[in-house]
Amino acid sequence: MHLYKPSNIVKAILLEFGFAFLVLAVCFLLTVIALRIL
Amino acid sequence: MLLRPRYEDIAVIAYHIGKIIVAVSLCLILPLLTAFVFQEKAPVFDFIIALGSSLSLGLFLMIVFKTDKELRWMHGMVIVSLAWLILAVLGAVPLYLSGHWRSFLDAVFDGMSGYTTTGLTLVQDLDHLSMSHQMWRHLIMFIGGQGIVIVALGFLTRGAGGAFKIYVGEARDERILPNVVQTARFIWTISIVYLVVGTLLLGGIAVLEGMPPLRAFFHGAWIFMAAYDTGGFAPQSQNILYYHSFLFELATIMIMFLGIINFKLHFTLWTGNRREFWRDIEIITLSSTIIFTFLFVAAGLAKADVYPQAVGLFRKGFYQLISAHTGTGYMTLYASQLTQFWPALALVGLIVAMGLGGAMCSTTGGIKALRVGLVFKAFIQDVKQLMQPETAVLVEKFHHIKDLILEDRQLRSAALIFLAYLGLFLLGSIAGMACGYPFLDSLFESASAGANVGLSCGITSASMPAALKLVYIFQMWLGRLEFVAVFTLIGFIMAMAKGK
Repeated sequence: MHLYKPSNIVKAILLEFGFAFLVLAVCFLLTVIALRIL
Repeated sequence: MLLRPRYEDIAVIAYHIGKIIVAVSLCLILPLLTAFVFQEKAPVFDFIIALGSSLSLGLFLMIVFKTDKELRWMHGMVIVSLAWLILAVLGAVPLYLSGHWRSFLDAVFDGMSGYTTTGLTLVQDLDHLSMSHQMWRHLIMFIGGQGIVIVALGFLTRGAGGAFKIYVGEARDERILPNVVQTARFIWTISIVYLVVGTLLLGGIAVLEGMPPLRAFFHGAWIFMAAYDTGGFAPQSQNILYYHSFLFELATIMIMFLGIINFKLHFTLWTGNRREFWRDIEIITLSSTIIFTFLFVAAGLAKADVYPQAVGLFRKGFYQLISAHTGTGYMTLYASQLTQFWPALALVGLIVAMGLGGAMCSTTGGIKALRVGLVFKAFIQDVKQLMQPETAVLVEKFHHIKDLILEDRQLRSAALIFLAYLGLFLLGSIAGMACGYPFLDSLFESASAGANVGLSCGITSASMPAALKLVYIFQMWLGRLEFVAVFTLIGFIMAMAKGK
């Protein structure tokens, strides 16, 4: 059975949440641009 | 020539279905305990009846058809497709007994919707449903998200021979660890760890927003189960709108993102290999398709001036979009608002997002990012080939946990499933239109059912025609199992009738 280091699990969660925030930020930028243009 | 299945084939199928039923039935103990804790007298009997009937059926099949015959691929596929149908019916028993569903068909609809992590519901007066029934609704979503075979493998089987053949039938053809039982246990480990983290996060926010701690804990756990498993059931009829909390919305967005990531990629990250994340074709495809479909939503809403402020547009638009793309189906507006205020362009963005879905070997439905990525890569390869001398041979590579070469076999399989999903969405749309609903609404609801999403533009209700309920049940089942297992079952039935 694999043993997972807690630090790796925490970093994995942070990385996955970071990905979500990145997409969120890009989409917010697109919202602002869409409202300006249209 | 079709060969008629022999008794041994039927016995091996029935025996394994019995095993799965017993394993999943044991999960009924949790809502039963909830009913005891909250002193809900009538629900105690509902769950005792459901547990008794499910266990009896499962044990009956296991004892009568006991066999140690080796599983074949055909057996695995038939077991999975039948087990999902039977469990949806058995899971509906306690729901129907609660009196909150108008008919047994409605309860089966919710049973199938729960197990397939769709989230469409026909429940009546949800806000007054007992705690134990709420627990069951969300638990079946959690079980379905992991996969019912994963439940059976995780709890019942040790080194099961041929278990991989059942596992594949559940549209999970990626083995994370060499042994399929270890794979099942990893999926459970990661889900339980995230369940603890997610419940604390959501429960904590609910407490901050003024909810009593015990209620906040249960709401946190239920919302986590449905968000992580990209299901979409909620304990309140207003769905996520009930909480009126930006933090709660943000937390559910994060959890939905966790749900669309491939379990194999989770495993890679958990073992410390974080570089893989940004190179993976699924992550690149998902980022691109989320941004691409959001463009439709943002442009549609901005043009129609539905939300004049950027924050308002983003909060409503992005939430529904990410809920659609992850296949969750959580909403922060009423279904009627979608059809009354949202322009067609924004709805089309949601429909495309629903159809695309998340990663392979995750809890989502839909076409899936890997297939979309491969089809896109193939287009690029064809264009590159046209620009090269005729004698040149181009090799297209992609990265999915490791470097791989794009082969015709993979592409054929991806394109076939891609087309099958489009056909499934079309079938549901035609059924919706035949029942008198407009085209766009029918397509929206059909994509939602077929891709196991759960967003609704208002068609799904207890008063919709029974035939349409059956079509949606069929779509949810077919969409979750990704066709092959169900088509094998149809072939098996034909062989029973016409085989020699």
